[in-house]
Amino acid sequence: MTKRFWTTVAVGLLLASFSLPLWAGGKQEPASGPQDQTGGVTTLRVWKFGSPQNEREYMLSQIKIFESKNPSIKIDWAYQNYPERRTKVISAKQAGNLPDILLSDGQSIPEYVSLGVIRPLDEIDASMVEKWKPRFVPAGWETGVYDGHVYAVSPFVDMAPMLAYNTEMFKSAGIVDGAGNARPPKNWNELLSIAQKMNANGVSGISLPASKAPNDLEIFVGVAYRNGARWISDGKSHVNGPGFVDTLDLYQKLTKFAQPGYSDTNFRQAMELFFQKKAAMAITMSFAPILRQSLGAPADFPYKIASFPQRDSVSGQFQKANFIMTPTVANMITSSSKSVKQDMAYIDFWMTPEAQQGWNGSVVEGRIPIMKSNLESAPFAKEYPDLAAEYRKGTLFEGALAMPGFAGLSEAEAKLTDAFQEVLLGGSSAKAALDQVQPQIQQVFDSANKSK
Amino acid sequence: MKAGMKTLTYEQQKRRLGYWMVLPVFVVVFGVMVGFAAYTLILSLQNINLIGTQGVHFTGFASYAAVFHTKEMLAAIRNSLVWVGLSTAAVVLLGLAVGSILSDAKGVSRFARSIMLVPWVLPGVVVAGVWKWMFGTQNGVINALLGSAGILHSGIAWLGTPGTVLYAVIVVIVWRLFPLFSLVVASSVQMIDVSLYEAGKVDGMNGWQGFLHITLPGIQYQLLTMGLLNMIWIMNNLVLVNVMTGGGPLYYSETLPVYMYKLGFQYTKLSQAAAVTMVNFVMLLAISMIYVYFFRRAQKARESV
Amino acid sequence: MRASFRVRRWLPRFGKGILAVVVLLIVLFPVAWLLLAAFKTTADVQRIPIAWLPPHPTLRPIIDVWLNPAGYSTDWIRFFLNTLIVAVATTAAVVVLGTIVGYGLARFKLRGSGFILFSLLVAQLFTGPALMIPTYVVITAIGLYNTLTGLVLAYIIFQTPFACWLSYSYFQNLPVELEEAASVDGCTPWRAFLLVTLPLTRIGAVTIGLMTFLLTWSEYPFAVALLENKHVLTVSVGLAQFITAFNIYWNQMAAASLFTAIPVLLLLVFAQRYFVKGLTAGALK
Repeated sequence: MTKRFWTTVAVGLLLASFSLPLWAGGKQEPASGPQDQTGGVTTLRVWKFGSPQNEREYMLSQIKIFESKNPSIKIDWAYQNYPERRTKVISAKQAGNLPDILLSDGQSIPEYVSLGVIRPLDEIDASMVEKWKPRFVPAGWETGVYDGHVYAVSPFVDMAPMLAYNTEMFKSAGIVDGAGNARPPKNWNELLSIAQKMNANGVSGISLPASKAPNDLEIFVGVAYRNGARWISDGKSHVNGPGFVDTLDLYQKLTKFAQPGYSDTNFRQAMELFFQKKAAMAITMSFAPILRQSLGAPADFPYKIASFPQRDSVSGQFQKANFIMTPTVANMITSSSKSVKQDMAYIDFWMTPEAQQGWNGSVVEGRIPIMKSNLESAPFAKEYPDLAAEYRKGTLFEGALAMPGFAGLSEAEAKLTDAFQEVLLGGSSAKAALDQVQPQIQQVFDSANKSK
Repeated sequence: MKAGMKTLTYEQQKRRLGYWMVLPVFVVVFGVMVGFAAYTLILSLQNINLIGTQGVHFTGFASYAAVFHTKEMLAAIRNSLVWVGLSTAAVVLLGLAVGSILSDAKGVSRFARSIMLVPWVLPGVVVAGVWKWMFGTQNGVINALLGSAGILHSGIAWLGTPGTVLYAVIVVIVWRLFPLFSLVVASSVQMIDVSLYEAGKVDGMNGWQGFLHITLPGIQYQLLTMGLLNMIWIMNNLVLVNVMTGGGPLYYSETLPVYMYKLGFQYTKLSQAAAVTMVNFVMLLAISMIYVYFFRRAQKARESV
Repeated sequence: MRASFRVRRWLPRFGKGILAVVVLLIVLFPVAWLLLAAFKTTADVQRIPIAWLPPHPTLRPIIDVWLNPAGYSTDWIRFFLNTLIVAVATTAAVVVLGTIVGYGLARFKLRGSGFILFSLLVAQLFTGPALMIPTYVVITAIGLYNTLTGLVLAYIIFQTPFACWLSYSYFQNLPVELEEAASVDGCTPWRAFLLVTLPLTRIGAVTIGLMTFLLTWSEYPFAVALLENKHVLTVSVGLAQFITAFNIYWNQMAAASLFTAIPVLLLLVFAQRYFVKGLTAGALK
């Protein structure tokens, strides 16, 4: 018994280990090199980081159309988790294994450029880039421009800061305009008093995203920019200027009326609470409707999204920015791609109104398209009557800036997050914490931008 | 069998076989390890930051000095020590207790041992995600349980409070690791000769004495090995802490691997990340040596009783 | 039977049953909580206060993951097969290598065996996130990026040291007399290892095998670093993709893990039963 038993086991194990390379070898993708050109077919490796499921499905369906129109190009699409983005790009850069196309966020452009990961599109084919440009609103187009070059093009932007408020709760609390409709707070003081008033009976006055997630900090930076703050100006860091200090002060005051555990609540969880009627307001970005869609809240959930209120008098020393915008599905071509012609053909496909129309609100809710045909479309007008009206007036992108990006941003963001959390946890005053972190951010910026 | 072999004595045959059994694997593993260690060491002595470095230079211990100048590093060292100490102790004690009690070769114990391993079917990221969800302040099942048991009235922000966050994550890693530890303890107990217990019974040993004088010595090597392994897994664990808290709030749950990961992949400061890796390695080596030292001392003390 | 009947003397027999139930409750609670989500709607998963049992039971998540022909959902069978290949191959190699090295170290008084043991330990210390970039660079350089072979190779390298240590510790506990008796019978050392020692350490080998299998099955960091194409992804990477910035698709994740976990579960139960039966039939005398 024992002998036969062991013979069986040994043979089984040996078979298993020998059959493995055959199995695995058979599964090897032909697309492992960027310049595979077997039989005139070019395979492009495309890396896409993050996205809700319906957006991904929409993009894949468009890619099928692209492939049927361009039989000589095959798309090898790899979806990857958003948090793995840096790990993947940096390891691939070190190993010389970058894909051809990178779909990433516009804010990372300066860092990708100094890492040598991406190359300017207008150096590859300036005339094609010129052809795309008039299809977009200028402010949106600018989000892909860095250092005088077009590095990325995106179908939409996400905008910060926004305030979501529950119209039902506002109405019953009597916060209404002349016509009896719920209205957003006019300024910071009113925001505070409404938050205080609504903070009762197990409902938080405001849902505050204040975790370590970079997105939460970016929303905070948006509020600060609206108050005339800037990360960097003329090579000098201004994170301890009044624009940031007053904003952080506001956040600190809001924590009294915010949900318990705000320092562990990211922007998604903050909206979860809001769509569960556990908070009367929430600080958020323009993509809040995506969250409603994917969290399964009813389509007629009583809420509105307004631009975040301003301080009575803007206290920062710079021009206030109404919004900061970031393109999150920005198409970039990597520096190691050997088939730039095909890359451009692929991006050219995406730069058509037909390929982009899913972002007008008909497929994916909550993205602010920047292609003119989408902004003028009927689904957009139906989905966002207010925004469409503002667009027709020409004020939708007024005073909107590209979300600030510079080499060293990731580390600077982490440092600012530390100050942000220290203050919110009650360890320090806004001014003291920001004064302390300013020289560190200055140093990060200086060492990352030495070459200039 | 070759004719030449026959001329070797049994001892010589044994030794030759022994080398053949050990060396090929050892050379490959050791080679890879030395290569990677050298790579990390060299990296840590340079000035590589993928963003903004102007030429690669050897800068001695500058990277080490730079990381030791941050509050974050000191917090990470402190947290790492608490994290590895408490978690390892809990895993070993729980694993030993559960494993030695549920060690029967059949019946309910065997069933329980198999089912206990189910959490391992889920990858670490998912485990971290599920526990993060469970520890949620409003939508967390833990606060809901404690609330309906009447222990809590308002939810605790387990992962958002400086005083609780590290312990919450420790609970999760202990939950994750102790079933494997019990499995090894149980299988080792099964290999102990039953006649030893029978002899002990004749000598009038009670259960506790039997555990101390027969079971423990009988599984001492596995205890040593698994204790070390678990310590290493805990000290080097990144996924759990990173997904659950990202080291936050502030630095209250930041461990050395989390800091290393941030330096390397967020800030692209590869040399400083390598320096943290070396610090982590040296600390782990020191802790392992201390562990082995005390283990040996306990072993000797028991033998001399 | 041979187990700890000492404890049983002071602990009533049912005490063990109670302990088993308590331990299982604690250990399985998070898993059960996740699996319940497989039958909940997206809105019910997010509900506050939480809904214990599905208020509106649905099979939608399971259908979305396993039966929906659109999108990525049909990939799950492939993820599962990939993971099975990787785990079985790694386990086979690690158990064989680990047992042989462990035996060699435990039984033969080799010169430098202390050094070898120590180096294997240090090799273990040097695992973790630090090795991500060098591993990635090496695997890419030998052309094995985005292949299962490359992943298996990495796993074998990083998991063999622990298997060597563990099997070494099992052999340490085995009485050497049996092999010596075999040598008197005229066996070569290799035959003594195969015929006498190996059967005795079956439990050890099974334990190492189970551990390796589980560690490989649920491994995430290397899998996500070394694979990218959906044709080669493993279950753990697939599951992690349900976690997105805008939503965590708990119900679909639960549906996916429900069906990928069942075969593994069966394997766990079966492996223990089969091997332990073999043991009681054999002799430890």
